[in-house]
Amino acid sequence: MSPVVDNGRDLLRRERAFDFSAQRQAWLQFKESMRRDQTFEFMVKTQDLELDVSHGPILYIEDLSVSFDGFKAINHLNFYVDAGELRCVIGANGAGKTTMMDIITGKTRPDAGSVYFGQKIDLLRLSEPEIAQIGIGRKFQKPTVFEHHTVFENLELAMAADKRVFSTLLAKLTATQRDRIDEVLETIGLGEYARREAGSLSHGQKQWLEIGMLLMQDPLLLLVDEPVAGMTHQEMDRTAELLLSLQGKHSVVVVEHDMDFVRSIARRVTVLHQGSVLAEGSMEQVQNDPRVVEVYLGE
Amino acid sequence: MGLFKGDTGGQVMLGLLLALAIVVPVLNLAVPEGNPLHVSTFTVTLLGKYLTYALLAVAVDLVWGYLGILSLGHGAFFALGGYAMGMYLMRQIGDRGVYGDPVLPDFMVFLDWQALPWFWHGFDLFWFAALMVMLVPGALAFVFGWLAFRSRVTGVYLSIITQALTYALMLAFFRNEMGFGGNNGLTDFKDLLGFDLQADGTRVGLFIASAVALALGYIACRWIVTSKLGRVAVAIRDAEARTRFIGYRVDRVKVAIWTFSAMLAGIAGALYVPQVGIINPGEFSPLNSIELVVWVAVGGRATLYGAVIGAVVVNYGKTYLTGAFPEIWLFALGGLFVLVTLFLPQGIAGLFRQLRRRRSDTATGATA
Repeated sequence: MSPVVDNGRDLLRRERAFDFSAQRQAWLQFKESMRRDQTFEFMVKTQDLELDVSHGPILYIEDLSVSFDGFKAINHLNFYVDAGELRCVIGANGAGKTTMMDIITGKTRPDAGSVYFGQKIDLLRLSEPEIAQIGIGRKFQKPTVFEHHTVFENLELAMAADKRVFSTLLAKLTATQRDRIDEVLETIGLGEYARREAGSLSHGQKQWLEIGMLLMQDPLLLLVDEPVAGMTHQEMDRTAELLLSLQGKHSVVVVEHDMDFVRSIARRVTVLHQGSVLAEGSMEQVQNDPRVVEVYLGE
Repeated sequence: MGLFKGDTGGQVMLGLLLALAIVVPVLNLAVPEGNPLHVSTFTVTLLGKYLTYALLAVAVDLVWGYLGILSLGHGAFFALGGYAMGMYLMRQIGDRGVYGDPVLPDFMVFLDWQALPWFWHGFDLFWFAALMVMLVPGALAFVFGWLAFRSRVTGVYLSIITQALTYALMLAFFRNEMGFGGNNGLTDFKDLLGFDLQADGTRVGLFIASAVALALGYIACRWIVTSKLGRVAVAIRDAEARTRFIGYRVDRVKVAIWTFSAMLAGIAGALYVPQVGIINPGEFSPLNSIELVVWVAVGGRATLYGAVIGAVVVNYGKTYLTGAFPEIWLFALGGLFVLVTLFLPQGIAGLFRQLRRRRSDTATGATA
């Protein structure tokens, strides 16, 4: 029924039943507009959900800070990802890798700083589902799939579509959508398991299924947290192939501990340390950077 | 039909329900009393009561089995639907009450009230009362759900506040000032849509209405759980955060299904009240809501038809035991819950499924 949805525009068209967030938004805007140090809302440009990557980067993180009980998990972080790039992020435990992903996807709110998707979309003003719908997909550290659904159903649920309650209730799978699911099943190599319950898959297969679920969302930016944790070498090679095949079409940020794996896929590597960027560059540059050697690789 | 694909239990249940809805009225109305096949009006009403309980259990299974919300307060929605119907029935009494006031129900005359409170207006009209049967529980569930699910209250915490909700309503309805008959509730009903509530024909009519409501409620729930929304609900039950990160508004899905479930519970309550002839604040008792969760657990969670089995089996047991050995009923209920949790985690429906699987295993084993 519903064709592939233009995520950005869909969010603008959201007059729906039971929607009070519009009223809340209106109230917040009203309060904001009454501030003496602000111009009226109608005089400034409102949030435009059209993605604009004309200047290159798809993700801008600037001067970001967040602390938990005084511990600075992210400390004046600046981080940019170009459209179509595959970027690896490495760093010791507690360097702030997962927290950074939490902030991008709306799970954690930062204390200061800005996060922009393209030049115009302020991610800090959107909720998790909204962020997912404008095209940022996330794979968790621990593989999280819907264990009681079949592999096929997992992909169906993740698929980019109108995800409002009543549209979901009435949704019927179209032939194009079915083809799209089959295509992704092929990509992640789980074609023969389509009818199996996801809970019965092996650890590696679950990781691939989760990457497949990300692909179904047609994301512009994929955040992949430790994709090869607990994988065998063969599985690791397959995952590397899979991620490499995504670059160009999607921008991918991979957080990983396994240095061999990072070496096998990375063009550019960012090293995080104590919540900010320690070094950035090609794998070789990074490996030879004395500061990196000291805090991370040298261990 | 796609709706019942793989739902053998549901098909059997609906078949039995249809048979019951035809056979019982015939055996009651056409077979003379004294004939061993005669079904007494008392039994018809008892069965009708079980069917309303079954509908309530289906409503609970929808939110517990498929959405993972353990409600310990669904009795509140049932009772509110019951009160809405009770108010209509009170207004139907007219001047036939003990005090003979043409407008005010007896308890208001007794409390020396001069006029009908504003919220009693309109309840003399059946369509209005029928609407309120769904809207009042629905509105309460919507507001409650909107606040709770937006704040991401889940698990035990949510169960506890649902329990508190029904308890608070019970205390409120006990008060005379609330205007719902206080401790005594609403009773002494005379007729419904002009039909005498004591007549056999009306009792049979209510029984059939309960069967139809259960069938339609079951089909509606089945439609929801087999839709994509149903799969999203199960996804929320199993991995809520993941569902949020693939772009679903988890709070809205929950509010929608929760509100629908509360409306079903309200309808069940509205059919229950004319059959038992009374509604009082005791229906809000937290114990009722807990008992109702036990029915679903005994029948088997996330099957819908299991909820029907559980409601009927446990209530039949309750009718029998409270008659034969009144003092052991609560022990039996507690024991049943423990035994089911230990030995039948999937409930009676799960037992059926296991037996069927074993049979098909031996069948394939024999051919191999």
